[in-house]
Amino acid sequence: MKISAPDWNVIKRPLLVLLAALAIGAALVYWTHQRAAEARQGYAREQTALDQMRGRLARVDEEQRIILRYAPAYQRLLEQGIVGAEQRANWLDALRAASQAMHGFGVDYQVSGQQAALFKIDAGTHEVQQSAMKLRMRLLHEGDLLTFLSALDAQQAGLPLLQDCIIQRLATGPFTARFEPKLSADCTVAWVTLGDKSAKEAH
Amino acid sequence: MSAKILLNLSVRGVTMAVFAQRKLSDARSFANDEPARKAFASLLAAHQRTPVYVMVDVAEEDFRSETLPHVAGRARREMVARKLAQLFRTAPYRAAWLQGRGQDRRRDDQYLFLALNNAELLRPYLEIIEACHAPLAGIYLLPVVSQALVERIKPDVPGVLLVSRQRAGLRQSFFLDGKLRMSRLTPLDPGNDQAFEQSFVGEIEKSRLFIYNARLFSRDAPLRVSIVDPTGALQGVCLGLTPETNLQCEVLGFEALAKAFGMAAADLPRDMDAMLLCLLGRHRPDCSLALPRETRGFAYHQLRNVIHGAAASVAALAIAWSGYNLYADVDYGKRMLAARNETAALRAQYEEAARRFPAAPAAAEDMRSAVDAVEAMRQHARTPETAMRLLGQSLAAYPAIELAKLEWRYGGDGKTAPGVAAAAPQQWQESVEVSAQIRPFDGDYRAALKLIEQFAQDLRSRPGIAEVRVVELPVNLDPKSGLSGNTQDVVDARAASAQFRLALTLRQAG
Repeated sequence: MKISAPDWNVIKRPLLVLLAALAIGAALVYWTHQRAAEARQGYAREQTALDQMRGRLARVDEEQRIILRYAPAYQRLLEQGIVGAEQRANWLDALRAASQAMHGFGVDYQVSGQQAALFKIDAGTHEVQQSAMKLRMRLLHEGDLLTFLSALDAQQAGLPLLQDCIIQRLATGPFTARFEPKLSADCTVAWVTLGDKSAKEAH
Repeated sequence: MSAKILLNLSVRGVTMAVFAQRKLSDARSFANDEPARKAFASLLAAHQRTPVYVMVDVAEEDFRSETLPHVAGRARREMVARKLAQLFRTAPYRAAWLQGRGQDRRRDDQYLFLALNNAELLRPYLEIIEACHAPLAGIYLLPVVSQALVERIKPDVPGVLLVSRQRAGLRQSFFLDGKLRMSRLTPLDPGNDQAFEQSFVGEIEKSRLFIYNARLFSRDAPLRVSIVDPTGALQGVCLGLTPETNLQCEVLGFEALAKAFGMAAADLPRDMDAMLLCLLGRHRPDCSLALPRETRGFAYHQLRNVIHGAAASVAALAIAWSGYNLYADVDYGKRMLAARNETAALRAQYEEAARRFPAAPAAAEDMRSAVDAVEAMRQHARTPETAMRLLGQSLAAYPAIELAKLEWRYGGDGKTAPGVAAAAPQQWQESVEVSAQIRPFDGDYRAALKLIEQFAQDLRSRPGIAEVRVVELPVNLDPKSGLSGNTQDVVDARAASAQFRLALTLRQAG
């Protein structure tokens, strides 16, 4: 149906008014909705903070008890370099000391770059990371390896977790009593550190 | 309610008025001549875009009551159109008015078909309406408009003959159960009142006879003659009628009409034409004679009103919605401020309590989680010592078996590369792959296999070992694999060894 000019004139202005009402109304609703949404989010944030603070206040005695119990142990972790930045120099010192304790033929090592831990563990806000250290050593007998690992642990220079060891006989043939390596061992140790992200928020 | 322009047209005269705020104003009457048309044009010019309602009071009209089968939609429209064309072939202004349903089993539709046979009377006024671009709402016959008056009088008898003195003459309309059935206009010349009353009485008697003879109404049923007389000039008409048992007569004076209209007496015009125009303004009948092309402007006028209404609704909705949003904004703002203040107060309390805490390098929860995690890792740390001890115990009983290589792994599932499987320390497992040989080997594979099986069985019996699996034997016994060699190889093999491999999985400690 074709609309004549007089008919169009009848509805032209109301249509413009309707369009204007739609545009202005939509803009008004959008603007006020945004304001309300921001206010709602702000309220939710404040409410969350309030709930956390209520919980913290309710647990204040518990918190004191935790501090008393865990602070010394945590302090030791800091001193051992388990919490905080990697202490590779300490690892090498410990490696040297363990090697000497073994009275062996020395230890070759190779440390890769630090990465996120490949295993799951809940350490709260700490970031669990590990650096893989490849060790190669020659042994008189398998007991040397256990002596080395025990000595390394005793150094308390970090948190070394042994992941694998391949021990094999170096040469076949009759046993000889000479002081020469009879076995070789290739091991992987993961040095674990907890990122000091939370430590920055020192109490 | 928006304003309306009302026009009553008859051969003799024209009455025009503006209807606004439910009452008539500016009502003027003219003889049907050029000054009337000029006045009408001026009225339209003064009230642009105001819808125009035209009421026609002429003798050249036709009424036919018909019963049609009850159908709906397009079928009904087509049937009614066919009937109209059949009844009023030459009349352009014609309409069908649905009056109700029949009382019999078929319940057919009862229609009143009506037509205006004097289109020339309308033409000059319709031209003025078109020239002024005024929206024509409809064209109605006067008796159609007066049906609303009968509905308001609420008569207690089914048959009513409504009689009124219009400018065009004597108008008599018969209503059955409140619905128009027939109407006639008698153009009487106003003489002296007594002669006029005599003419009235005579015309009413004729109408009664017509109603009975046309079988529109039964003689045995009571018929009421209602004489509309706002001026009090027809008080003696009832007395002039022949008294009959089934005939009742009443005169509806101005006060009774004002009551029926539901209007203050001051707002109701005394002129009969103007009074019916007022009725038209208040009750628009749904039976217009206007052609669709003539009411096209009114359709747009209504569309304009709808669009205005939509715009107002949109604006109202937007304002209400925005108001709610603003209320929510203010409300959340208040609640946010209250929460912030309460948090600050609780923080002050906490800080006061925290002053009693011993010095600590980190937050309590952070310390606990770190210490617990390190303890868990230390608790589950392993060395090959256990595996070596278990193997050593078994090997002591088998001096012919010589260990060549030991691959110890500790990690996620004990089978893949260490640490690759992202398992928690509690699920870490120790696994060992042992490469060994039987030495010396005299070439007796059967004995070698037996010895290896005994050795594996010995390992299985150890409580610390969960599983022992033979990975490789000195000779491949798998039926699916090929096997080749030389018998002389066996002789040479005496100087060699019978190598094999075992895979062990250790039980998790505690």
